[in-house]
Amino acid sequence: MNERNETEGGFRLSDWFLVLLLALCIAGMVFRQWSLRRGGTGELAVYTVTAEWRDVDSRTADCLSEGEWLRTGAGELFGQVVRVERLPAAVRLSEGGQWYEGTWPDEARCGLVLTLSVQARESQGLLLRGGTHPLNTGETYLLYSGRAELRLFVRSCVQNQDVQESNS
Amino acid sequence: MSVGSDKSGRLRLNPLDWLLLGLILLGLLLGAWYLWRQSRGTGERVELTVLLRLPAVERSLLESADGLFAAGSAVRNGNGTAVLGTVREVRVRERLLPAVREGGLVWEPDPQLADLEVTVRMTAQRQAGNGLRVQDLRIAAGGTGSFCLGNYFAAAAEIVWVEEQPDERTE
Repeated sequence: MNERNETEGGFRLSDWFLVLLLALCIAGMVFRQWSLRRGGTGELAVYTVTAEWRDVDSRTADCLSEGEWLRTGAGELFGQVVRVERLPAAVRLSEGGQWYEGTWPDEARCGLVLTLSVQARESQGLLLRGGTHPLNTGETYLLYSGRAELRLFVRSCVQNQDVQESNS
Repeated sequence: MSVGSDKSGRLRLNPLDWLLLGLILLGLLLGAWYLWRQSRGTGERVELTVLLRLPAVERSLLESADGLFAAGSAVRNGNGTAVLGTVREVRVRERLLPAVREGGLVWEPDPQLADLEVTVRMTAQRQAGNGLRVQDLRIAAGGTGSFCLGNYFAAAAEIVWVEEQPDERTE
């Protein structure tokens, strides 16, 4: 009964099943890497990305500087901070059907509008940061500078080749 | 019934079995090595001054005989197993709430809750591409972290501000 389950050379049916599983895993990894390319192979272009970092303690905002590089949580480069504009954080309160608006005392909290320089490529209507990861307007990204953690809301992405030339 | 065994009853493995076992063992060893490397902490050693905010702390806790904790208290990780640094300063801040008064927006202190701002000194590792880390916790202004400050558990304390300091031991 032992020999019935074995082929020549001692390989059993279960062994071939494991080989198939291993092959499928490798194929899956290859397919995933291929799918990230999304068929675009051109050179990366420089895009100007406008993003907001909302409702931040003013002292936290001091931990970010122009010229810093931002990275994702995985350590990948996202883009470079070209400009930082600080605005007071607005507070809105509704009472009696009416909206009242104000700002924090002593500008304790603020909002930042960041201009970033990001390398990306457009492919099939999608903007891909670094040629692989989608960069979408209206999406919030968790990024890191040297000392700060930023939740950036992307407002616009505009291709601008002049940004790279002016920064060099 | 025994499949793949010889006359003595020992399990007989073919080359593919050995290969798969080897791969599994290699994966386990790599994983263990990676976790050990993470726990040991690699990268440049950096002294940090960090400002933490503990929001919405009950005033009744602050008014007890010893308060919550004082300067000099140890700063530990969230489960209290490792000392990360020392408390340098504790400040009680009014927790301001917006309210509408006389047709305008004003700010009033919360009568029951206050914010604590705690300055701590801790040692971190600067890891390339991975920021400043204390054990497995990333220290970054705008983030949060859970700490034990003295005997007080500060869950999800806000990291307000981070500054590198020269190492006092080399001064």
